[in-house]
Amino acid sequence: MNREDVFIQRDLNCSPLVTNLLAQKYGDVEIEILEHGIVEANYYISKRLGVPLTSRVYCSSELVRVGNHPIAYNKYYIDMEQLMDLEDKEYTSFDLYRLISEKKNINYMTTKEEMLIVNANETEKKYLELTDEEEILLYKGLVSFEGEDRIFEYFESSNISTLYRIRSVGNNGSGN
Amino acid sequence: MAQATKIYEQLMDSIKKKIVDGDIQIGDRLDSERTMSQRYGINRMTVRNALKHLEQEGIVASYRGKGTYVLKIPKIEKKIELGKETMCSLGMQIRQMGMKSSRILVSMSKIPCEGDIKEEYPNEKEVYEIIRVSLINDRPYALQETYIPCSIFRDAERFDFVNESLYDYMRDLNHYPTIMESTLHIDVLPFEYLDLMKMESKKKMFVFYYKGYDSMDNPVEYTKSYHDPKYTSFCYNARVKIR
Repeated sequence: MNREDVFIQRDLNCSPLVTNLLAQKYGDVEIEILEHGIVEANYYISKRLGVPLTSRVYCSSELVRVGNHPIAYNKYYIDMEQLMDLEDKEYTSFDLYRLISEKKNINYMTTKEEMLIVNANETEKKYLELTDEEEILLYKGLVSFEGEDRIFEYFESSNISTLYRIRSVGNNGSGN
Repeated sequence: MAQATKIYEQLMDSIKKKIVDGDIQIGDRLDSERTMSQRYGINRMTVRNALKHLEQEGIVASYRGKGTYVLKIPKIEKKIELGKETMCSLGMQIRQMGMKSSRILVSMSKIPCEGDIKEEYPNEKEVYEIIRVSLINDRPYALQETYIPCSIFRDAERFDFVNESLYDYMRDLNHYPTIMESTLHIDVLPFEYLDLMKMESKKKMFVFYYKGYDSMDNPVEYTKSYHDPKYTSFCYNARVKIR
């Protein structure tokens, strides 16, 4: 399987977690945690999470591979207060969603996302094994648990450009 | 959720929106501080603060004894955001960015309904193909191939698709697409459009396919739309099932 053949379709109306979509389609999905730790939120992160400047924030980066091909490099930030006294150890974002979902007894999240096509920076080229000329699909977004106003996570996801197809069906107004 | 927007910022946003929407034109005089204060039930200092910030952004200018006047259309964001819940025609989205927008009609013709078009309109023999290019500051940024069924839109050749909205035309004929199915992926521009869009062959673009259905579930629109990512980002809300 070539890396360019790897893609998934996300249905905006309701879709499983990306990791589940990949696993359902390709079986062999590996998530490697590159870095993780607790940091003080800078101005940019504090604004996105809606927390005061210098708040303690869990920060992590991970690399996703399908069939040994690196396809996504993710960074995410979570307000420590939202982690509900989880044990202090490494978690992938997939693990955290499931653990917090079980604690809150909420099965759905809502996300607000922006997608751009940009040139890969040096870190992205390194982890995604890209050449100088290649572009990536960059997602930035906010995650909340359904029914909660509070933001759970801010993330930035750098992906190979062919990874996603997005579908939505919706009302276009009455036309009046 | 992030901190609530301050009242003076809300007033600023309201004034900016009115300028962008054309309710207030460049050169128009804004209402006085007293008028806005009374109308919105807010402190006059709050109004003054909003106007001060708008002046710092270069959107308005205040002249002692004469009032505050609009200088320019505000830039709200650097990139055009597509995929919002409210459907807008492409032209309107570009204008909201404070850039000069225009559109070229490349071609409008009646063609046989076949290939992938036939899959969308299985009962049609012919469709109208409308190809348009949208420009920002005279530079092409998006291309749309739109296909509408001839059996429904019999007089489409008479309509001005450059300056008028396709959706207004459809609405007037009671075939406005009330349900839209859209898909987005990343791909390169078809070879035949490279010169038109002034793009290199390997440059990746946002590619949208829109399918519109009217209130009686008739397919009434099939559009393939290509967007230069230099001017475009795609924003949306999604619902995700965790377990």
